[in-house]
Amino acid sequence: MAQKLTFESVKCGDMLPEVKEHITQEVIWKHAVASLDYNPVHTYPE
Amino acid sequence: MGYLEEMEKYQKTEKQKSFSANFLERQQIEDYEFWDDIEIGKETVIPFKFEVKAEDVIAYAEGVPDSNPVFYDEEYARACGYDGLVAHPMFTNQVLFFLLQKGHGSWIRTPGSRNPGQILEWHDPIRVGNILTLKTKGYDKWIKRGKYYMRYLSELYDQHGTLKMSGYMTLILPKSKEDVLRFIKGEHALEA
Repeated sequence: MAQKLTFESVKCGDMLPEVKEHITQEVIWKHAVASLDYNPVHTYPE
Repeated sequence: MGYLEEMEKYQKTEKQKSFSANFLERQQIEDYEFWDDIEIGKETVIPFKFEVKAEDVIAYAEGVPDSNPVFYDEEYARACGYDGLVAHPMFTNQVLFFLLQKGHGSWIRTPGSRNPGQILEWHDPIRVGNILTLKTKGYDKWIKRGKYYMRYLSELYDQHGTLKMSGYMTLILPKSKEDVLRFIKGEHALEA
């Protein structure tokens, strides 16, 4: 489980934990529907 | 347009289901505002309003996705000092796309547009029950390395006149309607 950071625990210059996300077309589509940004460059793979 | 049918299964809210999602529809393109048309200094209060409902706030956070309970759990939001659910800061994207479906500001939908970066400031959280009004002004437009840039100043206010968000929205656009129509046919039409 990722360590939970607080405002007080973070200092300038600290490296934050690495976050990895697998971006699929489904992830992009869900965000497009949420934001109503249906620009085909995001939504139309062809 | 198979991709639009695929995306329908993710639509949950009334606004998402009623939104004109096909940015490539020829009849819609006729109503867009193009780089050539943009007048610097022209200010408009968009005549449509965005009434914020709980389903809008929750569905946006799910779509980001952002699991912060302040966007989902009213009791949690109150314990954090808010008077109810608050919207994710980038919820303003949904508001702008919903309000700018045609006419002044509809350049946001232009096929071929590219995003070189935005400057946004949030002044007050958007809450369920807010009725939002958008004021936009053509701020600047220029040509750089053969690309057509435009920048708008956009401000969102609630029904009490409280400024919620202000931002300088910048896009690289096709220059004219003719260039957009050439672009959607697969022709190179985005640069001078």
